[in-house]
Amino acid sequence: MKFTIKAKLILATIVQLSAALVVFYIGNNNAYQLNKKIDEIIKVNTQRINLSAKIAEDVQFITKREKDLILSKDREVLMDLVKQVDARTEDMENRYAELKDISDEKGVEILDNFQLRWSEYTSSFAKIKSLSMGVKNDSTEQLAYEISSTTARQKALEAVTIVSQIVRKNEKALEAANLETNALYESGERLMWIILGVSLLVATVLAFWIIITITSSIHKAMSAIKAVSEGDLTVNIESTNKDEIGDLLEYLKDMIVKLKEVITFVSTAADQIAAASEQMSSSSQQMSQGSTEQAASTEEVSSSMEEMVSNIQQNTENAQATEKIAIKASDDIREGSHSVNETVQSMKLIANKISIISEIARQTNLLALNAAVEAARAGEHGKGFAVVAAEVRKLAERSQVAATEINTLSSSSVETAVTSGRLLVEIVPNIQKTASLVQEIAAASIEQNSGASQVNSAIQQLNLVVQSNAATSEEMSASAEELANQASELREAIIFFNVGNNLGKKSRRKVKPRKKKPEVSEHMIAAKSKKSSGVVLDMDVDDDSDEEYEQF
Amino acid sequence: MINDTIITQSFLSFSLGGEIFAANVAKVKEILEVTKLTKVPKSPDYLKGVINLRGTVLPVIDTRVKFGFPETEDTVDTCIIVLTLVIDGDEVSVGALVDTVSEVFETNSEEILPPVSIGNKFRSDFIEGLIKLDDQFIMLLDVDKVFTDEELLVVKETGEETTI
Repeated sequence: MKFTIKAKLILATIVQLSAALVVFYIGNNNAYQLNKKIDEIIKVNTQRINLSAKIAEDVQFITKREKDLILSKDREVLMDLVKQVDARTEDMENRYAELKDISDEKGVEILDNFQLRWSEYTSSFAKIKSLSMGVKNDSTEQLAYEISSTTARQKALEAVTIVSQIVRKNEKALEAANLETNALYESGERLMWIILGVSLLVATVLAFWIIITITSSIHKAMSAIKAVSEGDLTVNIESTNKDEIGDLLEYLKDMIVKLKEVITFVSTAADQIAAASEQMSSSSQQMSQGSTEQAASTEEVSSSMEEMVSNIQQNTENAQATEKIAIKASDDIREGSHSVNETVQSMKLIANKISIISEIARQTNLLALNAAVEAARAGEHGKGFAVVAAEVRKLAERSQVAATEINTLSSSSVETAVTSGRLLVEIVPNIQKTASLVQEIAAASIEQNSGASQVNSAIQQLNLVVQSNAATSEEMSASAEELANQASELREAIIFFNVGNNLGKKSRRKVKPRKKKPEVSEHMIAAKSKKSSGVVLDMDVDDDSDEEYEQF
Repeated sequence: MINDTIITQSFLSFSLGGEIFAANVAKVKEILEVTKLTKVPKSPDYLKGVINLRGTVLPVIDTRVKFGFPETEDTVDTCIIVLTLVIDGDEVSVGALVDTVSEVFETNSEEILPPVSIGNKFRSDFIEGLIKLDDQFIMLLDVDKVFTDEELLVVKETGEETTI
């Protein structure tokens, strides 16, 4: 079972409170007693004294009126005096009754005594009254006076004495009460003083105990936390106390362990980040270079595309021209075909004519032969004619040969022409097809042209993108370098913590080649200032950790 | 120019089935173009038909058939040589259908070579001789012998019948 600070404080408070309660109770009790006494004094004794005094006064008032009654002669005055006495008597009787009510046994006895005296006086007074109210003369006056100065006076005096007895008695009672209250007060005061002293002693002891235990724990915790605050995570924490501070120290221990882990992790992570960011920097530089090259290539491609576009345009124009030419050629060929047909007709005509000539030549030949035959049969006489006939026959033969040749030629020409015509006719649809194809080519070229323009614009956009990529890559490179710097800064910041291994040294070595920035971490400056501010360093926690300690 | 030994004679040359033949001009009456031939029923196959020659009936013999050449269609050069044959002392005109008629030429009798054996193609008895012309021979036909008696008889009969 843990005896926690809370429990301690609660215990101390309970002790204090109970002491206070005891004191309160005693004080209250005393006060109550005193109050009761005072009440008694005020309500009873004082009232008794008061009433007694009043009664005494009433008695004196009445006795005085009695004298006046004797002395006065005036009837009215007498009546008035009687009235006064009656009224006063009534008052006094009331007071008497009241006094009797609040009187104790002895008081009642005294009052009975008074009553006795007073009734005796009253009878005396009645005598005086009747004497005074009657016919007054010297004798009555004398008698009255006698009564007044003897019996009445004595009785009144006795009554007053008795009443003053009550007063005295009560005065004694007051005195006794005073003594009693004084005793009460003194006893209460003493008791309170004793309790106060005891409780003070107990409270002091408790407070000292609590303070000592808490401060010792807190001191431990403080020294540990101070060590941690100075970055020393190798601090050895022993917690013996089974209170909150002990828990705190346990947690601090856990925290230190975690912190160690975290710092180690952060340190390695920072190393990794530094390495990664360096790599990233170089990669992004490469990327930037690549992007630049890409941009150049893209521009080349763009210019090539433009050339291509112009070529395509040329192609389009050529195709259109070709189309026109093809259409014209088609028309020409149709005309040519027509001409060839005409030629064929002409040739056929020629052949026809030539066959006529051939026929004529053949017949001439035949005639010449016949002539030759006739001449031969005529013998010597027909010799000359035979020569002529032979010549004619030869001419005819030559004509026939020529005609045949012409015929052959013309027929072959006709054949050729017909073939040509057929071919031309066949060519026409081909050329028309060619024209339409060329038209399609032209259309395709136009489309190609627009496509190429689009491609060109796309390439230009690409170029822009590539350029922006290059810029971004450069930015990224810069960012990576910045990151590396940050990582190194982080590492340097983490060196502040001493976790008991060679983390700091390792980091330090790695950090060194990096260019140092002027704004090297406010952490370091803070740490420096902290260290120079002269706090007590926990130097003897771990000796070997000092080796890794870095002085900045 | 004319002496006893050397007699200059005129011949009419014509081609038939790729060979060149010649006939003595003295036997040739005239040369005709092929005109409409009238077929004669029940006539021998070498008798092509008859034609009207200036009012007379002229029997036309298909020489190709006669000579055993394959029969061909007539061409523009196909001619009819009207020959005058002497049969039993009577002069008979006969038309011989030949492929082409070439020319009339003169030659000395010396240049006429005797007919030699020219294979079994022709009966050499109606070949009078051979005349060398350039690098080929012209077969000189004995027109009278070409057509046998009975043949000519038919011809003669035909001619007579037609004449009548």
